[in-house]
Amino acid sequence: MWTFLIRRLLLMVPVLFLVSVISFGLIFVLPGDPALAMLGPDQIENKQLYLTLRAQLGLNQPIPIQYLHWLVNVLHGNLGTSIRTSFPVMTLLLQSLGPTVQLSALAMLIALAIALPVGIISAARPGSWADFVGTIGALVGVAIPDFWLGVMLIFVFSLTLRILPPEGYVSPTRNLGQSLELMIMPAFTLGSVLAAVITRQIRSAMLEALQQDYVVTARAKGLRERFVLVRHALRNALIPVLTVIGLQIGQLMGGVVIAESIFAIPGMGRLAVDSIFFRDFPVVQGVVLVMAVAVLVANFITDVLYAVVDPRIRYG
Amino acid sequence: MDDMTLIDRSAEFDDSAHDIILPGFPTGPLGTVLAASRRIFHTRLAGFGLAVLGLLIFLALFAGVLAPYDPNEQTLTSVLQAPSAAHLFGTDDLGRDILSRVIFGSRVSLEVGLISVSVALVGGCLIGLVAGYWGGLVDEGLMRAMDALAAFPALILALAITAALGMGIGNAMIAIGVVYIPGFARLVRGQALSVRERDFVMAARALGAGNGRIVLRHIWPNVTAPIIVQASLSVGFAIITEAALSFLGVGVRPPTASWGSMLSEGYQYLETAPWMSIAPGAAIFVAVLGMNLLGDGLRTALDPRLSRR
Repeated sequence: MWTFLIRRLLLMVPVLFLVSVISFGLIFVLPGDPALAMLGPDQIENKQLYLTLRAQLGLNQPIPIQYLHWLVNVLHGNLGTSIRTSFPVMTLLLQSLGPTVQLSALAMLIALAIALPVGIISAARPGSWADFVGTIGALVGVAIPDFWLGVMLIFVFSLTLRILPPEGYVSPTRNLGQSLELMIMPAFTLGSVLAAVITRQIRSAMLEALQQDYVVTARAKGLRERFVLVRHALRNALIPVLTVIGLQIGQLMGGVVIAESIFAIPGMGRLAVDSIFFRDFPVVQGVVLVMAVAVLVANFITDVLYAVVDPRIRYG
Repeated sequence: MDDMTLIDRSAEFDDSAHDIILPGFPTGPLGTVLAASRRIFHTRLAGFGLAVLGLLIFLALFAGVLAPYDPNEQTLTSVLQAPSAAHLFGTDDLGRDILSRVIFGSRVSLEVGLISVSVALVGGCLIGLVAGYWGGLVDEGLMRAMDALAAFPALILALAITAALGMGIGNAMIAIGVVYIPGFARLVRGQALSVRERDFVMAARALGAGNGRIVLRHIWPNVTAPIIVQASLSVGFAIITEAALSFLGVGVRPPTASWGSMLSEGYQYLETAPWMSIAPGAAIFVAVLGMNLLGDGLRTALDPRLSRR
């Protein structure tokens, strides 16, 4: 297991390096002088600000040196300073982390709460009405644009039925009830798309597992069907599902941008969008880097969990 | 990153996918496509997907004839009108006919879907072929670069690239194309890795064929089946990504009609004019559903193992 862990960690190093290069390089995709582009049309005549910005970005130095300086700073937890707010990027990221983690966790919970029963029932009774409804639901869930779903939820539950607040954020430590009330629609918006993907995976993995000899044996022994489904088929079917859940973290991060923008949640997605509009590139670099690293770490954890539940992986 | 963490669709396909040619059909990629089309017509859901794609192309091509009004014509005397016989989907805050804008919006979606997927397809196939055929350090370097690119959430990366290059449909297409390159590269690389060890490639090499000829004449035709599936599924994702970019305000510039920007405008009037948000959202949904169903149908049709089930 240790060999597997070390090998897997070493494989992450070059990818992390390339992720850092891409994040850093984003600033150079800007046409012309990045400092001028970042100043925007309103401040373009402000020479003092321009010179300060160039010095702050280290733009007078060769690009590899600039990258090395940036990387050393990043490794020390210094992601630069926001041009718009003058706050350290790290502070802004830490402030926005809580709402994003809360939203993502709730979305994942909703996704699993829908996907597990629907996927199992669909696979247990293939061709039945329940399977048909589950399959159609999954197809719709994958195709429905999350931003449209969010807008429609606001229309139905906030503007028509008036039972949920349309937008805003309250920390769960301040008022748990209100926080959940505000989070339920954005979390459902995100979770429903995930639920669709996971349902399809659970259904197909369960169908595969139900064909295996050990399930036939379990049934032949006279075990109850529910026991066969949960203890024998589901436990094995969850192995590939685990990978799909891990791979959905990137999808979740993209969805966070949409949900946080529609429902006015001050999380990392909202921070990314606001920074992009204000051409606050140190913040954009920081958010993009942190999200990519989060995806890589999620993939790593998925692989490790996969190796824990399926010994063939670590010895293979 | 370890390959086991990646969605590698190559495992879902048989190496000999190109061998599923029906008697009397031409061989090679054309034969694969023809054989697949026959099977698609036998699957109802995939048929629906094909019909949606056909409708999308029809709307985009004949938008000028089909749209009852000029999509950008502002009639300030009839702003925010609910759906009626004169305006089937209602009008927006500038008095523009929403049905006409939805019809014209299909052009943007189709254009973005096709062009951005072509960018991803060309970039991904080149990288995948080179990595899969040459292997070794070239493969390691290219695939780690793809892993790094894939680590960025697609929408975030597309947003950042579009914002950096400048807002507009052209840059949005490039951004979406770049974001989907790793998917194609991994798929083609996986296929190329298995095909390059097969006897006919060995035979071509033994006969003195050069690398370029082997890649183009022997490897490429054998990796096309899964690429067709991936491309059709990617068109749906590209349509959603463009709509998301336009919804967030970095995609298509006004007054061009795009489903995402229409939805964004409609969101401002959700309480007083919900029809502004319903029609463009429904259009995106139907288009994406159609492309997904077509992709699923193609996968079944092109994979002999799945089509036998």
